Amino acid sequence: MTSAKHILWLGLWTATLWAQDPKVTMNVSPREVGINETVKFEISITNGPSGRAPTFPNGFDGGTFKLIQSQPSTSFQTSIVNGAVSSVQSYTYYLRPQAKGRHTFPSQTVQVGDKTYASTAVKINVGDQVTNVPQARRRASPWESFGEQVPRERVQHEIFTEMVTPRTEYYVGEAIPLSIKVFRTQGLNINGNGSSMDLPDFTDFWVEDIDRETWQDTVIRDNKRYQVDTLAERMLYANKTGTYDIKPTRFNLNVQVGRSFFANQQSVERFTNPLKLVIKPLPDQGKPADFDNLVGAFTLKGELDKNELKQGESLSLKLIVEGNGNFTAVRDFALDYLKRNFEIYPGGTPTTDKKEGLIVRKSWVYALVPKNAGEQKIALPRLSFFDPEKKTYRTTDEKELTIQVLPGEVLGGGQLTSNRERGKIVAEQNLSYIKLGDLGSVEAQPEPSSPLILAQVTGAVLIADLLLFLGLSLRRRGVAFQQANRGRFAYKQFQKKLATLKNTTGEAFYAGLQDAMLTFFGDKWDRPAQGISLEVIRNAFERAGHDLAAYEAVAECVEALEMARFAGGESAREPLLERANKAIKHCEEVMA
Amino acid sequence: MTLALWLCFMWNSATPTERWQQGNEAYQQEQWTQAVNHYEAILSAGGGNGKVHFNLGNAYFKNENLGKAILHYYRAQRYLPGDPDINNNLEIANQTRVDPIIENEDEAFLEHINFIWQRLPYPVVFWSGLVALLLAGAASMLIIARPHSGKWVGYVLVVTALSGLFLMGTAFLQHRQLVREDFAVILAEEVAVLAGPQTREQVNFELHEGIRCLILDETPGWYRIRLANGHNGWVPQSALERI
Repeated sequence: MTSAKHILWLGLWTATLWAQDPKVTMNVSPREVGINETVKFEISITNGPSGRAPTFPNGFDGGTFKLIQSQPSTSFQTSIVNGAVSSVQSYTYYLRPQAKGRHTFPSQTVQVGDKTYASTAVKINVGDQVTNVPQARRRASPWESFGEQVPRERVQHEIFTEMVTPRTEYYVGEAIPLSIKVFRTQGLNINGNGSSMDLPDFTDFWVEDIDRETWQDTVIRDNKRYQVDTLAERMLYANKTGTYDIKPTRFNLNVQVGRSFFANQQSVERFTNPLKLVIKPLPDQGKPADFDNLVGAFTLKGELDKNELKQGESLSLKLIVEGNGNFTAVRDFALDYLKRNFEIYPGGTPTTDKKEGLIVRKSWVYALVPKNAGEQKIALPRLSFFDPEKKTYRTTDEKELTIQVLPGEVLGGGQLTSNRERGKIVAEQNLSYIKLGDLGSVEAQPEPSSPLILAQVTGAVLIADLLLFLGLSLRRRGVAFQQANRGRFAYKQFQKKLATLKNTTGEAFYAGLQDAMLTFFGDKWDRPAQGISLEVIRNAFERAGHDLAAYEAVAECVEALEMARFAGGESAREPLLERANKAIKHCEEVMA
Repeated sequence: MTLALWLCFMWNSATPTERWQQGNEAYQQEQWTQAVNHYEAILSAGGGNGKVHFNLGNAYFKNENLGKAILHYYRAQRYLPGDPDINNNLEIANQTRVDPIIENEDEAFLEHINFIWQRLPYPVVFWSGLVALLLAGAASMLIIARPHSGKWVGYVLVVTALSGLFLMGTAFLQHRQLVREDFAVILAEEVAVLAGPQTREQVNFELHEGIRCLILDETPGWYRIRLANGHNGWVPQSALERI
């Protein structure tokens, strides 16, 4: 079942290919060859019958070029884009020139399927023998060591740069195409990483970047074939007359032989030639009165979005300027001469279209509202320019568009309102009304608060956070240190507790004092104070061999404390505190 | 004579509110010149706000003085950033200009990256930013002092700190636009932009009223200006007015 589906799919796919008309293109390259080189005649068939080489019903006529091989080299490509299947078959024939000079490769008639196609005859220059730099040898095989050693030919590569313009003399405002090219022998490649180009300053010129991709070509120079990379193209428009010297372009190129990952790279510096351009003034003779520094070749046409409308309705008039030249000088058109019959609303920002990186078309859309019914003529404006090819001033042809205006509703005062597309084209209709109501405060606007305050607040908050963090960290570390060294700080802690007890009275005082004394010993021995008693203290003193007089003092102090607690009254507080302090101090000394 | 003096006195003694009402009435009666005079009188008395500049821009627009109209719309925008009426009328006025040059590209970019750029006035942005930063500070201190205060403090810290920083950035951008005085509008119906500050210099290009430009340099009687598309040159000082 699956196989059947596949066969069906394949059948449909093949049928799809067959259903499309084939597109046949024929190309001869290069147009300049050395006597020892070959010329390529390539036939590309898009969506043609598969597997069938094209035939030559009149036979193949190579003229003065000899076919090297009777069967062409073939290639086949299939692609599927958005579900559409397309295939391209290429058949390449190689030919060798027989003699030097300018020869014509004749037109060929080719049959593809049932249809025949003819190529155009092509002129090819055949020059002297061309020296090609031999390709770098591959890494030698270990087996070659056993064979005869053939001395290697030294490979000498070349790379140089050029900055060219078609001519050296131009008119003010005329487009000057400037190309910057790198010539390199075959097999020498430029690595984009580490390569750079410093263009000169084109002072006194308006410069437009020709925005298209880098492209390659091959040329023969001094009987050597070079690959040419056009790395930059600019269109210059001179602002002033005079002679200008354009400095060379500097290249820093990272080159390598071959494309191997291990190929040695080398950085080379190259400079193009400088350029000298002579800019001539435009002639005064024949200059039209409305000439506005437009140089080039232009045409102007107009388009209307409708042929018929009612009074009060609007129509769009699109004015399109096409051609080549200094489009920056093509300005918005003043259509004042149409105001008698139309209300006119300006075109605003023009739309520009580019071809091969250059502006070739600029258009504006104007909204027109006819004032009168009947057939109305719209004369297109005329554009005056200087044509540098013909060296004369020219003006675009007179053209007229016709529109049929049907009667519409006309209100008093001649104001037209019928069917007007509000909010679309008539700018003033959309103007927001003035602000009414209270005037509000008209005091001078206070100086706005500096946003630096916000930055300062942020800084202050961060600093406060940092200080707080440091403070808390230090405090925690101090507490931890004390915890870890209870014995060392036992007497200090005891004194702190005594200080707090000075303000207490009654049971809180007695209990607190007793607890402070026992806590002292707890701290000393790193034990909880709850488990400490006089007996425990005495045993510990005896075991440690301390002076028991200190213990006795503590025991007497505790006894006095109990007595005072039993007797009541506040008079014994101070002597008790002093006595306890002395007893604990004595113990501290003894235990130290 | 007495009557004239009295009228003159009455004219000068009118309060800004009276001028405002008179201007609005004149506008509604389509007496554009009188409306302009009333609104201008409020400004020449040293007062002014976004409403006055907006209405004055409208009156100038109706009076076919495009340069002045655009100038006052821009001034109104300083007082009332984000006001849709001002933005609308400014756009219409700009479409009416002769020169189809793109407006300030920096601002167009800012509008894309900052959706509150044209919506919130500067004081709101500033004070909101300040409050957010202070809240973020308090939350951060609470987290440091009491690390186990709860998740909500962390959320408050993140939200307020991010909003505070965003508002602070916005405030910097808005403040920069508010205080800069190097923007101007061309008022001359047509002016030649010269290569230098002398009349004998070569004409680089020509400009028409309503174009906003940046003043780069100044010399007695002349300004060096630059347009949003990078074109620059010198024009007489009388041809433009600072926003």
